[in-house]
Order: sequence, then structure tokens, then C-alpha cells
Amino acid sequence: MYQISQHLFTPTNNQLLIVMKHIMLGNEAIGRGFIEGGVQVAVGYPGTPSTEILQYIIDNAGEYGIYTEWSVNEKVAMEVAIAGSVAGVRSLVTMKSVGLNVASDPINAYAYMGVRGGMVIVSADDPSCHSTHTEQDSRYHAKLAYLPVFEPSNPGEGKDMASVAFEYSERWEQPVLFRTTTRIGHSRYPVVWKGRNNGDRVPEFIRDLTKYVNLPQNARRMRQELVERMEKIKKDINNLEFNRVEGDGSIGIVASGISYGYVKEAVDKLDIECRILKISTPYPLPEEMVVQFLEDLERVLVVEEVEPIVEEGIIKIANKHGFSIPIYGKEFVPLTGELSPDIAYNSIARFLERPEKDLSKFEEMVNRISEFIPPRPPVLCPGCPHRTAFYSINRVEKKLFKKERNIVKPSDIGCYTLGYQPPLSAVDTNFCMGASVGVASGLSKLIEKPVVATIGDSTFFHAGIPPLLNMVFNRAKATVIILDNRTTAMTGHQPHPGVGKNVRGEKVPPIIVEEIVKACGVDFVRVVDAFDVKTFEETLREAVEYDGVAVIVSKGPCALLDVRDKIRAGETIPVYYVSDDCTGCKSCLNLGCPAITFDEKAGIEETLCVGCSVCAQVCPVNAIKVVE
Amino acid sequence: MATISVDKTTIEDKEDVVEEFNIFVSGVGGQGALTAAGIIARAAKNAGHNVLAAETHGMAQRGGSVSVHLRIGSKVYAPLIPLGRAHVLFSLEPVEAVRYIEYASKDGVAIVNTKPLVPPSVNLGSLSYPSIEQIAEIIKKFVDKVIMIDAYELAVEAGNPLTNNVVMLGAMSHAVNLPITIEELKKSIEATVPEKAIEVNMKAFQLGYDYAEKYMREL
Repeated sequence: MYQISQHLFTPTNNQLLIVMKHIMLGNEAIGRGFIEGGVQVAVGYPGTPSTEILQYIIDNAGEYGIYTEWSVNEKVAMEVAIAGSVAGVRSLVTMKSVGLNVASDPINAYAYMGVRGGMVIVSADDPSCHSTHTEQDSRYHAKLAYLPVFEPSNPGEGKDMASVAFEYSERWEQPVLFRTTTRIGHSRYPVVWKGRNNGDRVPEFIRDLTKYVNLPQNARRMRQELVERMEKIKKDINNLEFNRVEGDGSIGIVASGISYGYVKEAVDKLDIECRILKISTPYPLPEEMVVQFLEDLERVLVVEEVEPIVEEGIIKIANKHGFSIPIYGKEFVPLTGELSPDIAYNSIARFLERPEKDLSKFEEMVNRISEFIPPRPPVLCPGCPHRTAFYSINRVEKKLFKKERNIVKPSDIGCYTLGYQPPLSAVDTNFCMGASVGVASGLSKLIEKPVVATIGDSTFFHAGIPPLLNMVFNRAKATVIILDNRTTAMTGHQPHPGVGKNVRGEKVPPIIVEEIVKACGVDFVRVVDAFDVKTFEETLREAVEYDGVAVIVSKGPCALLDVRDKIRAGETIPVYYVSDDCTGCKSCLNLGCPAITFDEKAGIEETLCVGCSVCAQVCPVNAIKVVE
Repeated sequence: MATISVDKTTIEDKEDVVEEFNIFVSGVGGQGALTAAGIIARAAKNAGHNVLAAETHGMAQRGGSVSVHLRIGSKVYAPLIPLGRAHVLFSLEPVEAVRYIEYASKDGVAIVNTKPLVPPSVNLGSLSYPSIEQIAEIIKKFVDKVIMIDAYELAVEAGNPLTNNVVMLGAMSHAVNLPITIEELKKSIEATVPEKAIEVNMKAFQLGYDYAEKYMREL
């Protein structure tokens, strides 16, 4: 349950307030918390489940004069935020867990220097891989860079911790890593608003060579100071109100971040007496509080998602202070996947040697039912401009190699990863942002088979340009299709350098993808209309047969945006139907369009069709026509 | 309105009389499952309840299966519904009700839209989409009270097929003993949808309510 904290009082009126609760998405609540905490620079790169934090700040930035931007990638975003901190204002950077990998170079560098303006790095982790390719635990990154970690147990606490994080960062001159997870960021919860503090500083650059130039002579000193700062933080973290001990008994349960809610619920249902240590700063742990907690306990269980970071910390403290009680964690709590009330209940029940909730009947139910219903994985939307590219890759492959799957198809992070799904099945590899181009560069030097990479425009700007340079530099022979839909679609249509307008509404010269490609030294550059199937296929065949680096820029707007804009402009959207001429040959089904149905003959679901015409182009008997 | 009077020393918060009430909302990306859950969550908050609603975002939304774990009450601390403990299974698509059937409580209520959205994989021929009768039969095995409703048709009748989620809310408000009043739900709809769409949504809500009333009488 949300606890009303002492931070509730605005500086102007601390006598009596009528406080209303607002139901907010966790990420919005956290964004609100940063606004209340006086953020003046807020930047990031979109990535689920982090995006709405910065989006909320962007939507409310004008009111408070906050500088905001969606940067080109997380590394650049981190550097822009460092600039804000160096200039003395409270600065925030947001990203998803894997974005932290991209930003880790400047993060580790700045951690050595000591912040001026408060600096907070949000990393949104995704246990259970709902929309991320790893479950990686950002708390390990924090240990690497000596960043204290704030990890809220619910969205309401997330808001409160966000507003305190800047103060904390400034007090100890260290960036704070603010770790959220999917279930914090994407849960709605009632929160209480309060006023904004500290948001009116004038940024100023003060020259300080020994602080901001990390030549070895300075870096060695910085490293020493970093260790000293961390020692002070370790002592002070005991005073942070978000950590606390509750209840009593001879059994101890430690709950970190969101695990606290699961533990509370399990303890309630098991109806047990126990002492709970609620941890919202998994690194460093509040040592004095941990020692108090361990006093007189018989055994301890640490409940946390993913890695045993708190567990290792508790064991270390217990050892140091001579406690010889058993301390468990991952022996009972799964190392993989997110927790749930049932998993937490059974972990604690097993630890206490109590009967577990029988989940086998539910598993059996799921197994039986999954045979009965079709799966529904996410797929490319009706009218998606990426569909033609994958369809064409398959067509060219068929023409060149008959039935053999001889084209190697590295792809990348974005909507187009969904080209993986059948019937398109035209994604062979997917690693990380920009890797399609790097992998194509490497593979083409090693194997004879043609390589055709697919990458989106925002991902190309993010991390696709250096590997393209590498291809030219190292004389690779491969094709790269850049899917230019003029937005960052998957995360909710954030603008990027190719759009011509930034998030603050300023008009800027749009960066033309094909001009960049040419400037990288690529000779074979073709621009094609994403909805012209015939030309696309012909161009792709030419590219695959070209002896060198070939780039095709596929131009077509994201269907979701395009339809919305057309409706707003009062344009009519053509709807297609299948006439009696249909022979039931199933050619159109190879597109994998959700709007196409089939029952002996093809049909079109008119509520889903957005009139892209691609199916009409691939129909061999021209049976698909526009409703007049 | 859930307001709390606060001064420096005392905090008065009404104890939530509801301990735990769980609604599992499911559907297909783009159908309005998140909006429907948001409407219920806002209404519950305004009724003075603690609310926690875990949503599906991001990649899963692209025509994929979407779910919301909506939890109301003073004994709710964590965002996900335990298996077998959803008082209501609220599904905008028939197969999506079956997909999450393990969350439904045996003595709960299932409200299921009968308008199927067939995934592209089925058209390729390797998989089949069960009939509505088969789906209803399965759900009835696991949930005592099941309401099958053609919310799409009623939404068209109301004037906009996109209001099928609100038709379902109307049906739920009659069929389920919710810890939220009908007035609170309606107020929440008004506060959520665009102003010009309020009228059509109110009509949709009423059509759903009337349908459930008739359906329950016939049971």
C-alpha cells in the first residue's frame, strides 16, 4: 500500500493540504517525481519499458522550462545529461536495460568525476523478457560504476524516490542509478502530487580541468575519491527512509524493490509471523539496518527478481558481523523470469517447509488449452511498409535458389524484427541495435551465400552508421535494406533526425538516409517506394547480384501514423475486397497481413484493412479490388 | 472523490472496505483493452479504493495478445493476479478469454465478446480457430457464470464499432457485483473518452447493460 510520506508538503503550504490521489501509469508517476525533484535537463532514447517516463516530462516540460530531447542513442543522451550536470542543473537520462550497455562508456567515466547538478540515470529492466532480448540486471552495472541504486517497490514509491534521487546525487556528488522493472513502469497506481523544488537554476560551465579531464594523472586521484565517496554513501544510506524493518519473529525475509509487494501478499496469505527488511537501495545496502534486522533471527530468505545481488550483499554483511545463521535466496527464488504472487508464495512456503499452492493443475490447464487455441504473437500491422521488403527477400530467394533458403537475413531491433513470424520468416538473426549491418559485414567476408540485412531508420541513426562505414572500409559484399518509415514506431512514434522536427517542436533540416549512405562511400544506393512490390523485387535482385555494398532505402510511412494523419485530414482510406475471380491460390497469404482471411477463397477484414494495395499487387489474377 | 486531509501530524485515510477484487482484462492489441482497464481503474480510485493495474505495452501490442491484471482492495500489494483468483474475466475477443482461463476463479464471472479476430497463422492452414460454441463450452467448464456478448454488433448499433469495450463495461456493470457503482463507471468513461464521443459511448454502455440484464433473466 502507498504510504503517505513526509515529502508531501509543498514548501509554500505545510499546514493543511487536501491531497487528491491521481491514478497514473508507474512511468508517468516516476516522470512526475523527477519534475517535482527539480529536473532541468531530461533526455533519453526510447525503449520499452522506460519510454513513458521521459514522454511524460516532455509533455509537461513547457510549463516548467525543462530542456528535453529524444537523443540519437543512449550514449549521446548520457553525454547530453552529463553536460547538464556539469553545468550545475539537475539532469536525467532514461533508457531501457540494454540501452545502459550503449551508455556505459560515458556512465563509467562520469562516475569518477563527481557530479555538480544532480544526475540520475534511469534503467528500466525487463524480467521475463516481455519486450527485451535479455533479462539483464542493471544493478550489476551500478556496482561496476559505483552508482548507488534506487529501486522502488511500487509506482507511488517510485514517484517519491524520483524526487529524492536528485537531492541524494547532489549530497554525495555521485550519479544515482534508478532501476525500474516492467511491472513498476507499466502498472497504474494512485499517487499523490506535490510541488516542484530546485528547478530554477541558471546553467553555467565552470572550467575545472582536474575535475573534468580524466587523463591518467587525474584519473588515479579520481578513482581514490570515488572509493571515498562510496564509503560515505554506504554509511548515509542507512538514513534513507525507503529502507525499513517491519514486523518481528525469528524468521527474516528480505525483499528488494517490487519483490516487497509480492512478499507482503504472501506473508499475509501464509499468515506467518516474520521480520521483513524492505530494501529500496540494493546497492549499497544499509549495513547498520541489515545488522539490526539480523539480530536474533534463526534463518533468512532474500526475495528478489533476477540476480542475487541483495542476497550476496546480505551474506557479506552477516559474515562480517559474525552472524552464523543460514541465509538463502536463489535456492528458493527463481533466477529466471519475473516474480508473481504465486511464485513468491511458493518460494516462501518451501523455505518454511509449509505446503505450497498446487500450480500443477493450472499448468495442466494451460497445456491442454494451448493445443486448442491458435497462438497470437505480435505481427506486422496491416499496411505496414516493412512487409514488402520481407516478401521481396523471399521472392528473390525463391527465384535464385528455388526451394533452398540460401539468403542469410540478419535483422535488427524494431517493429521489423516481426519479419521473423511466419509466413514471412525472413529474419535469421537479431542481436542488438545496429547489429544487422555489423553481422552482414562480417558474414559477407566469410561465406558465399548472399546476405541481406534489414534495419529501421531510427536504429540506423542509432547504431547502423559505423557498421556501414565498416562494410565499405573492409570491402564487404552484402545488401542492407534500410526501412525508412520516418519514425521510431515500436516505442510509440518518437521523432528522430530524419523527421525534420524535434520533440520541442522546432523545425530542423531532415537528415536524408540515402545521403548519409552515399557519404559513407556506398556506390549502389537505390530509393524505392515501400508499396511498389514489383520495383522493390527487381531492385533487390539487382542489389543481391551487385559485387559490393548495396543499400536499398525503402520509403513508406508507418501505417499507424499514416492512417491517423489521413483521418485527421479528412481523407478517405481505400478499402479493398476480394472479388469472385479469386482462385484460392493463397499467394496473398504469403504477405502475413492480419487483414487477409481465408476460407476456401481469400477475404479482407474491412475493419483492419488500411488500403495499402500490396495484396492487390501480388494477386496473380487481379481479384483484389478497391471498394468503389 | 478520494481525498485525504493531511496536517503535520495526522493522516486520515479511509480504510478500504474491499480486501481484494481482481479483474483480468484481455483482448487483441488495438481493441481497447487498455482503455477499458483504465476506465475501471479510474472509477475504482474515485470510489476510494486502492488500485493496481499491470498492463501490456510495447512489442506485444502489435496485433498480439494483450492483458491487464487489474486489482482493487486493501490487501493488494503486488501487480499480478494469482492464478485462479480473478473475480472477473473480461475479454474483448473469444480466444483471448480461453488463453488466460487459468486466472479465472471458478465462482467468478466471465464476460466474453463473441466477435472473433482470427490470427494470420490460422489462414495458413496449420492451425484452426475454434467455434464460438466450443469456446463457450470450455469457459463454462472453468467459470460458473459466463456471459457471451456480441459487443461488436452492439457497438455498431451504438454508432461506432470502437465502443465495443464500453459495451462490455456496461454488461459487466450489470452482471458483476462490482465494488464500484454504475455512476462512477460512467463518470470515468466521460473523463476518459474525447468529448464528442461521450454520447455514443453512453449509448454503448447502456446497450451492454440492457443485454446483460436480458441475458441474466434468460439464464
